[in-house]
Amino acid sequence: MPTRRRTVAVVLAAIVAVLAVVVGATAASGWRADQTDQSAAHQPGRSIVPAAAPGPEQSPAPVGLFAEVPVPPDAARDASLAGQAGTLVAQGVGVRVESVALAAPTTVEVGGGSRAVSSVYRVTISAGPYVVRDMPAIVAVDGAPIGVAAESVDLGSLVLFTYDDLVVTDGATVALSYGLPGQAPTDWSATLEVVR
Amino acid sequence: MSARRATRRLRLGLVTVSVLAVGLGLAGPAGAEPVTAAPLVATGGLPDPGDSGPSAVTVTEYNDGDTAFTPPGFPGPVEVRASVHYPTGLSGGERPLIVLMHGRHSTCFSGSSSALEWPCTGGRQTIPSFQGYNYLAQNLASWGYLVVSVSANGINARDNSVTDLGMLARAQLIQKHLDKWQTFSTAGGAPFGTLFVGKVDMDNIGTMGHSRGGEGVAQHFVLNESLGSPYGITAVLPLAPVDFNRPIVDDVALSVILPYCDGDVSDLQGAHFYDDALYTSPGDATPKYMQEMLGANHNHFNTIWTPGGWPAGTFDDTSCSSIALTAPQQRNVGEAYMAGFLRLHLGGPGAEPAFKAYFDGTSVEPASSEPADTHTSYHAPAADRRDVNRWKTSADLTTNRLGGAVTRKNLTPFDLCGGEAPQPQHCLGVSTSQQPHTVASARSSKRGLSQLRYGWTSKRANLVNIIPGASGDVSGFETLTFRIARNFADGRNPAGQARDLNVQLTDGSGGKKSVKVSAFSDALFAQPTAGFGLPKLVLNTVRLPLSSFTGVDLTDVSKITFKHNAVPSGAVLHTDLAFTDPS
Repeated sequence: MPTRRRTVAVVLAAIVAVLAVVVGATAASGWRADQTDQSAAHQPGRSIVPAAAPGPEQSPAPVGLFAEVPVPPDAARDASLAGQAGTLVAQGVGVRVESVALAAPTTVEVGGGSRAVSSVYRVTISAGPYVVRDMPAIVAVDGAPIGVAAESVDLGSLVLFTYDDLVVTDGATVALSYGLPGQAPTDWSATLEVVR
Repeated sequence: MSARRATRRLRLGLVTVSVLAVGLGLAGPAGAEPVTAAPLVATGGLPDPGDSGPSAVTVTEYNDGDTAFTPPGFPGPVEVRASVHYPTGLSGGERPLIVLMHGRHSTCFSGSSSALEWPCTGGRQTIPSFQGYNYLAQNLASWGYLVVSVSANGINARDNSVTDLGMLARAQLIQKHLDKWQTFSTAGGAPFGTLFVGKVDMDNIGTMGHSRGGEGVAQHFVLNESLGSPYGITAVLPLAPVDFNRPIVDDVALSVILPYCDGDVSDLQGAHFYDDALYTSPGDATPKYMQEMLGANHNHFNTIWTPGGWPAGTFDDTSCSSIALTAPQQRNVGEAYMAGFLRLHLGGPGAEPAFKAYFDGTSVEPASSEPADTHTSYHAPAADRRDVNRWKTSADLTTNRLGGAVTRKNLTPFDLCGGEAPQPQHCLGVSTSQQPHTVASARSSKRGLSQLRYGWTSKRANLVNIIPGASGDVSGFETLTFRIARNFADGRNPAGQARDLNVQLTDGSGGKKSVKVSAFSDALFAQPTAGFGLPKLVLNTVRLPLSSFTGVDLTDVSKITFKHNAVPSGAVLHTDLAFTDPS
């Protein structure tokens, strides 16, 4: 049996801690990005386990690519939001933006500011069918990434939840890329028209 | 056929003469090649890892059900199902075990429509992505190996909803299968009874993962290690991998395949696996390899993901418009390099040490991989290297790792990029997705590869690394190696033209000899540009045999000089200068 030079106790303890936590995310709510860089939490140079799913108040700052892609807090990724009726607030060719009521008001940070909200925007892009890919599907408005979209079961649409009012900007360009906008090719784009 | 490849073929006959003359073609006449010479490529008479072995192969499967396992912490059930290829009759004792893991793909289908859910509902049926590597499994089993390809659809259906994008779950799933094989190989168990008892070497396991499965096998290596290494993982192969979390795979033989025309993981972020594994473990006794496969895309390595291979969910993702391989061509080159690496490092009944030449920077390619064009990177075990300059910190710009002075003439900008701050995070002023060594990672803030960046417009330009006397005896080494790439974003490199340089060794008595890089390597090739997101910059290894530096006293080498008199101008990125491999 190969012997390893590194002490495993710290890593084992970390794994046990992680395994004890059930990640409460759902496929319908899509990308769970309240992540932490685990490499710093373990032995130098090691990144071995995913983060446990912290609550919104525990969410560390995103790292890496996700540092540039805003992540809505847990309240916006509640599974029930995916199927809940919404109010159309903006649209374009192949895209609908709806306002969906939250189960309870919450405080969120958008654009560096904190504010109370009682609803979230659900962005549904139906320019598919989509293929299941390895790279994250990043949605941007006028070049600014607003989040990562998740595939619907039938792969006919991508869904993203966000609090960012950018998605109700009349004439703005909403775009999809697998990777950061401006770095990865744009797969699709449309012009938003606010519904008044 | 491109002009370049046509040239290569025409030259092959001439080259073969010199290749045969020196065994593996390592000692062509220095300075005899034109500036934009095609690479010296031949099979060198080596065995071809694309060839099948002598054994008949039996294929079977085990399936504990679609919801047989829930990886701890994962929000849904996962199937425990795998195909098994093994040599019919299983003659002899224990043999290495090879585990394959597919990547992220649709999980279910109905007619020509695919879906992402698990288990499949509404009359939809499973897409068997795990069967997409049967061609590789068939090859390896024919050489005596036991090959298990695991299904991971349950992870794909929900991996975007966990923080590490399903990587720990993938590692746990592999470990679950290894636990089963531990039982199969000792007490036996359903559905195989005692068929595999005494037939599996659980201390000699190779893993190959494609796409997200590529990071999956990397995470598995780390997980297994963290559990006290209950199983012996001896070779890890990420194929067209993502590297979201940047796990480090060291102290194990590692080979990474980067398909240049990958239209999914288009930033070739898997280069981080190779770069991150170097120098991290003092005394690391294992080699690291990377292959940049021109013309290869992401999906064609898996037959189930290839158009025509399954009724739904397939697509050709190539980002290249002129050099794309056909699906069979891509599988051939993939099979050659995957089987070659695994047979090289797992040993056992199909052991073939000669395959090393296909991976270590020597300009030979398996005949079965043609017409693909593959460029290689190689990092020798620690005991087999004398590192001269890693170009990692600013100190390396003036003093190398051996304590010798570093000087340069007429080189600009001559700085470091891509590594830790204060270095600039990226080296080129183009999209970061065209710079795999420094592209940002989704789940890690780690920086990328530190590289020396410079260019020249004078034939008097040079870069010198002094070798102190105490380190000057390199007669025990076979080659001088370094990684380098043409900086396609620098206007000093004419579009579409390869670059070249001369490398000179000088000894303590003033004896010197220059050899032209193009005589031994095509690492300075002009990266193809036709397509989207192209070109991409990957550093590859130049391997110069010390035997070619005739007239130089290899027991007293005092200086390594990069002489930039081979072409009027150019610009490169460079790192990892070392004397490599025992002579």
